[in-house]
Amino acid sequence: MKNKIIKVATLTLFSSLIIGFVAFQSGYFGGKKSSVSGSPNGSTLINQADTIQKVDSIKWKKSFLISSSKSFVIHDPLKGLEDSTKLDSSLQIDPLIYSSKSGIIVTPEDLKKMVKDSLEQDSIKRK
Amino acid sequence: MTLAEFYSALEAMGISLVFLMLVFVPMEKVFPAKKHQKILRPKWLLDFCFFLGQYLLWSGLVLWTLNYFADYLTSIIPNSFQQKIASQPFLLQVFEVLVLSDFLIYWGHRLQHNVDFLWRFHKVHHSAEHLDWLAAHREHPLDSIYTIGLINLPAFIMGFPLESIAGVIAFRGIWAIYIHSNVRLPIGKLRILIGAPELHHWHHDLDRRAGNYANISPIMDVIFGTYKCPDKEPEKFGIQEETPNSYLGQLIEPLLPKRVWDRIKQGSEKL
Repeated sequence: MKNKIIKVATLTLFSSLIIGFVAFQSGYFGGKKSSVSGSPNGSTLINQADTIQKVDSIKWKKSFLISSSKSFVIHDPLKGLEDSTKLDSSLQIDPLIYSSKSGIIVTPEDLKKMVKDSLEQDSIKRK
Repeated sequence: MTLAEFYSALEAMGISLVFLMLVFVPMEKVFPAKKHQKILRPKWLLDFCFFLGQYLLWSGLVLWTLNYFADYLTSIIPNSFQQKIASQPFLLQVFEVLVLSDFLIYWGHRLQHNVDFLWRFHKVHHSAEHLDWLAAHREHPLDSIYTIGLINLPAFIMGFPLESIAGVIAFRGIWAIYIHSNVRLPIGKLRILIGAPELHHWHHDLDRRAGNYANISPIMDVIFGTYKCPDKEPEKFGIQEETPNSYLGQLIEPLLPKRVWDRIKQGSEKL
């Protein structure tokens, strides 16, 4: 009987500690989530630096990848900017510079915006 | 490593030591595989040096290497591939990551036992003649880089955030220590799914190609015909080759050509 109680108590302690550890490592009780699998031979349980600081590959590639001269994708500098740093939508113009053979360079609407903008800026400067 | 980082590693080591003793010592006393094995059995100090080394010296190097490796993979894997993976249902991604890492670690581990160059480093882990939770930490740092690199490789390639299954990773980590412990607690048919010390003890048999190479689930061993589970414990653990008895010796020996190491050994014996 005594043996049985010891066995049950040991198993209970073992399972509770493992469940607690898994919960802690999952972020409960203030635990820090690990992003690296340890060695299958057994390795450090708690490591203060066990998260790999990975750069988000998709974001990284979108912001910094410059296309090849053969890929015919022109890098759009406005695309990577955050909303807060973008120009006012009413003042946005197409940043592409067209070829001399492609026809439309600036539409009449864009021209109006540009003229208005330059007048407003000039008026501020004069003050 | 700054002083603050060192103290932090020291703290992590202390907490882990107390926690692991709480988890495994009662189990090893109540359900022992080798009944007469003491807690402070022969060579416990050598294994304790490996334990300290892992926390205080090598985990930083291993993580730095993995970080470097992960960044390199990030730069060469096409975005479109990772986006396709990310668009799959989450549970399918989890399944893929776990199965692929088990597959890789199975074959990577089997190679460690069959390719002499890899065995040089892996034999350090197998040189333990007494198995328990502390002996699980006996691993050459370069062997750690190899095994940890392999087990994480599918997640790096797929761009899968492992922190989203941190619980599974934690379970896998502590179970890897448990299967080395001096415990015999048969779990019946369940051992096909999650593995058990009784299986892994046979992996540490004197025979270098004893089988049971899988990580958590022995399914890979069953599929590839290396599953081995007799009803008794192996008589002896360890390897048939001669290995150094000191921590430094175990770290340096695999790095040197055999004749150079033999010369060093002869020199130290003369002294």
